Amino acid sequence: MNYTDLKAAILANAECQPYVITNDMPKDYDYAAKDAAIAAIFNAEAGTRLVERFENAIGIMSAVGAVTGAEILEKLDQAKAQIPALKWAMLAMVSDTGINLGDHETQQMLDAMVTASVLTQAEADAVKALAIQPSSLAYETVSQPITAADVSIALRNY
Amino acid sequence: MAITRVQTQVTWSEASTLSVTSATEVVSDVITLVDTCVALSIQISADNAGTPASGDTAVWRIQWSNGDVLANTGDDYDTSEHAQFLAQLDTYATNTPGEDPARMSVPVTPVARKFVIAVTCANAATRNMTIAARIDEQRAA
Repeated sequence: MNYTDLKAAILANAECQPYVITNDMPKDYDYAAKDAAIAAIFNAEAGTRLVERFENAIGIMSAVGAVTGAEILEKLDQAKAQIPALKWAMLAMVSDTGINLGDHETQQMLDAMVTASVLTQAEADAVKALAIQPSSLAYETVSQPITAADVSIALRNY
Repeated sequence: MAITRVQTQVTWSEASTLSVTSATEVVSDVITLVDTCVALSIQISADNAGTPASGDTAVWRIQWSNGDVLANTGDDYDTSEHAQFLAQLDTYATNTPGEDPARMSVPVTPVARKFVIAVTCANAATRNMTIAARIDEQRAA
């Protein structure tokens, strides 16, 4: 964990200020509750984030439903002859590994399929959503949830 | 046979407490047990001078001596890393165990006549740690 980044983010966050305890302050016996309060602020759900998620054709059918999944795949398969990037993406789609739905390129390609009238917005969103999870300040800052102990280390050891 | 109990403060350069100011191991004055000591316990204490952070611990060890094991001059005590582990006091409250100040008693078998107490406080350079210890001997009369 990058505690330097975490410290900077805590100090820059107005909501955290009442709970910040640094070494240049008098000893604060309420530190455990205050460190936990900052951790809670940082771990609270806020926005969304893309996560790595590899799925192949079978995986997508399993995730969005067999009928819907098959319809989406069929549409993409028919369009691949006109779109080189889609042709190669579909090759990955039928491999064991599949394609990373959390990759920005994959997400943009799904949006492009809507623009090109290959998929409906609902179909593209259903596939894109497989790689979208709730985010938080903690994820945005250090890519993982944080604990009160992490807060204490960031604020008073860095 | 009667048993008596005698408590003795562990001293650090003759002071009853020590403010540890670095991560370097600190060592107490020598404690010499009487020949009739049959049981021993040590109460150890650590008080964080600042607002604790995770990792603010005090690791306590006991370094025994059977005298001049090297047969050169002076008593030889157990070396730092091989000394008998007593306990780790953690002053960060969210850890379990963890509290500030932290105190605990440790039963110790008196395997030799002399010893010193060695303490290492990992983050004491950033937040000083005040340490203290007191022994309780059970002596056979």
